[in-house]
Amino acid sequence: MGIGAVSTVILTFLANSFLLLVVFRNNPKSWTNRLVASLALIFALWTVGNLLALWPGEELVRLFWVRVVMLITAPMGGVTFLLAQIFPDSELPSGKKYLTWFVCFIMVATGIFALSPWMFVSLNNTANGGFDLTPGPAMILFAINHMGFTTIGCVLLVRKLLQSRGKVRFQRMFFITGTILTLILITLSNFVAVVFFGSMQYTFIGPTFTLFQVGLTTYAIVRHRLFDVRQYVIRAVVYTLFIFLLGLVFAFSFFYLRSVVFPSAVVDLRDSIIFVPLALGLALIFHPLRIRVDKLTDHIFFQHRYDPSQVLYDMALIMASTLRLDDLAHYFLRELLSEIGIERGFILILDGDTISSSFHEGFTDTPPYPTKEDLALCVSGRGIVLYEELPEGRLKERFFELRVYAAIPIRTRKEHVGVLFLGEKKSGDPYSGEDIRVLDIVAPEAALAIQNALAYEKISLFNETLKSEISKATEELKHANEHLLELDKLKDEFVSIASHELRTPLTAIKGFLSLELDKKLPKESKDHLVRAYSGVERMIGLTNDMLDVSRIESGRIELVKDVFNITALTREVLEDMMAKATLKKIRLSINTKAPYILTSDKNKIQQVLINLIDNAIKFTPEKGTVSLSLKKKNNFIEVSVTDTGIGIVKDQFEKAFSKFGRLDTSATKIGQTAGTGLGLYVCRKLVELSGGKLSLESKIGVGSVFRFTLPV
Amino acid sequence: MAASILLVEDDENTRVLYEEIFKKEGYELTVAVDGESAVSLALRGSFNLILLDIMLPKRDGFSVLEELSKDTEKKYRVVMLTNLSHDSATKQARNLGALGYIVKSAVTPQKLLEEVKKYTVK
Repeated sequence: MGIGAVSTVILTFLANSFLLLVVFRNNPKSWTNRLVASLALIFALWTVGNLLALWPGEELVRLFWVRVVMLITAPMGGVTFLLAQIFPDSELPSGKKYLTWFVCFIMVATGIFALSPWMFVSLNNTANGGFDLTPGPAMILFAINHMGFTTIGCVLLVRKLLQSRGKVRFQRMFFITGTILTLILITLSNFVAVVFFGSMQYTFIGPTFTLFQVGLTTYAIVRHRLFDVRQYVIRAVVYTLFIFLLGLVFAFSFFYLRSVVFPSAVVDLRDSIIFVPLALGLALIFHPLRIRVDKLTDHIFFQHRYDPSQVLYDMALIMASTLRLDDLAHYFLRELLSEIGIERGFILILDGDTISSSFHEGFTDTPPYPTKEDLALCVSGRGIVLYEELPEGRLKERFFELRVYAAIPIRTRKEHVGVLFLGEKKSGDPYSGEDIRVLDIVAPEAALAIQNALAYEKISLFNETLKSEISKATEELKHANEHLLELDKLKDEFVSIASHELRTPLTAIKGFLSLELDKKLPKESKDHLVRAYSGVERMIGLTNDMLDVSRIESGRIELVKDVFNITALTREVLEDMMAKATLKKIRLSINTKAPYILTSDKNKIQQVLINLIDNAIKFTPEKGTVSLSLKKKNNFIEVSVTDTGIGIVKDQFEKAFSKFGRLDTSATKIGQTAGTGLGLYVCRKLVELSGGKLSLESKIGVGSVFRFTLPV
Repeated sequence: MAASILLVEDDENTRVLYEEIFKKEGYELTVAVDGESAVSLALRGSFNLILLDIMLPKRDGFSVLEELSKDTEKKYRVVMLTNLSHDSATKQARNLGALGYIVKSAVTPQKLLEEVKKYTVK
């Protein structure tokens, strides 16, 4: 028992005591903490007791210390069992009171037996400083207590581990690892070593290994978040092993080379010939080797690691890629889940405190979403809500039901846009600090993207509404238009019938007046009858014009085409008009003899000719001339009616052709009865309908030329 | 012998006017005041010319024209004498076999007689 053993024991004792304090102060009311503290106390005392029992001395004294050690360690199995039952909860299992009492009873009984000779009958010192023990029948109780409780505890723990998730899973994992590691190492030091070396000189180290159990368990309890701890632990272990291996390689190489180069030589300066190059060589390969090791460990232990900057970049791209909320939410979820390696998740978009839409990935059916109250709890804090940080209660149960591990509020600086719920990671790891950081950055970006998408949706919807409004209005207009067309048709019919009804009596009047005018009458009577006749004529003209205008405007006028000689037609009209011209002493003539044949509506052309010649006579002062001429120009026949009338001012040309476009300067000045003002309008329309053009040339005081063309 | 004319005219004033005009010229004039009597008179008698109005009571001029065109034994010389002047009416009359189309309001008695003469001179 050297100074090394003593210092190891003291250090172990101090470390266990320290852990005891840490774990107890962490939460004195929690039974988990109390039990772990008890274990630490047992281990601390066991370390010391062990040393005292191993210390060379009287057999009886040693036996006493052995019995004390047995007393101290008597509750170990029971406490481990109880701890396995509740870990990491703070309450003892309420429904298993009898079990707890039973365990306590066994522990106390074992303790009592430990002090009695039934446990160890006697102790004999051996030559190498150790001792032989003669176990008694109560040793069975001790073994059952220890092996039984510990084994059952471990089985229980493993079962619970498989059912648990998140942080608890990790806490249990740490606890189990610590317990099993401790058991194995103690077995190695206290049994295997004794068998191998035949001495108990290493037995004092045994209790040291309890530090693994207490240390890891304490860490699991005390550390609030276990983020990244696995990573650090694994790295640390791997580096230690790596350096240890390098050291071994170095040492073996050194000694081997030395034995080859300087056999049987005593240590001297020449060793540096081997030592220095070897060290240099190792120094040179250290760095590349380390990188290799890093890669290898990454590959083995951290397959699910990702490059956060790459993820952030990818997520930013996704969020900028679409404005459709549907696509955005799905792409976002899919990408985030696959990049970080999360099993499932869903996004709830909030409108105020109600869910306006939801999107999920990795769920077979739509998951039952949290209620308003649950959501309010999720977004009440500033940041991410993790399952294990939630207080026991409905929300936590809800998370469990939903198989959700984290809730991340999606918000801009001003408002809540929604909540992102994420399940566990595929690797089974808890969320690392890195994950949380990535989510912290991604969430507000997502908030903005979703807001944009919502705005876009609104605009699209508005657009749709506008479109449907427009098409509705168009439909209404169409109906209105159809109605108008219907009305137009009715108007046309009305005008048609009205004009017919008007013309019937007018025809009779005109006829009778005509008969009377043929008789020899006193000049005065004849004068009256002439005036009456012209009045009737004007009225007939008016009804005709009205009918024509109505037809032209409703587009119901048709051309009845014939092949005819327009020169002949002009002559006929001219002859009909001759009487009227003669009455005003106007010379009416035609100076074309060549027959021009064309295909057109004869009646309409006749109407145009009558109108134009009638106008010319009307607006030409007495003793003037009205002359007609026809000529062929390209594929058109051009008919000109030239008068020596008063002429029309150029800016009145258009007015002359407009509906009711009567000119102030014309007939009224000459004291003639004016027309309806519809004649030229109808003429122009009829000519245009026939495919020609009606134009006017005029000079005040010289006369006017009305010219119309017709296609051959 | 003077030509015989069947005048179909419902308006009394107009009828009197035409009776006066045609009788003065020596035409043998028969008068019908509606479409149906026009058909029966036309079928029974034989006229050199039928002057047919369109807007008639009981049966319009087109219908009369159509009825007469069904008679395969006799040929009826019909000229429309009407105040309807729209294109579809003239077209229809022509299609139904009318020889001519005179718009009442557009012609003077003289002109009417000239036209009628054209159709009655063989």
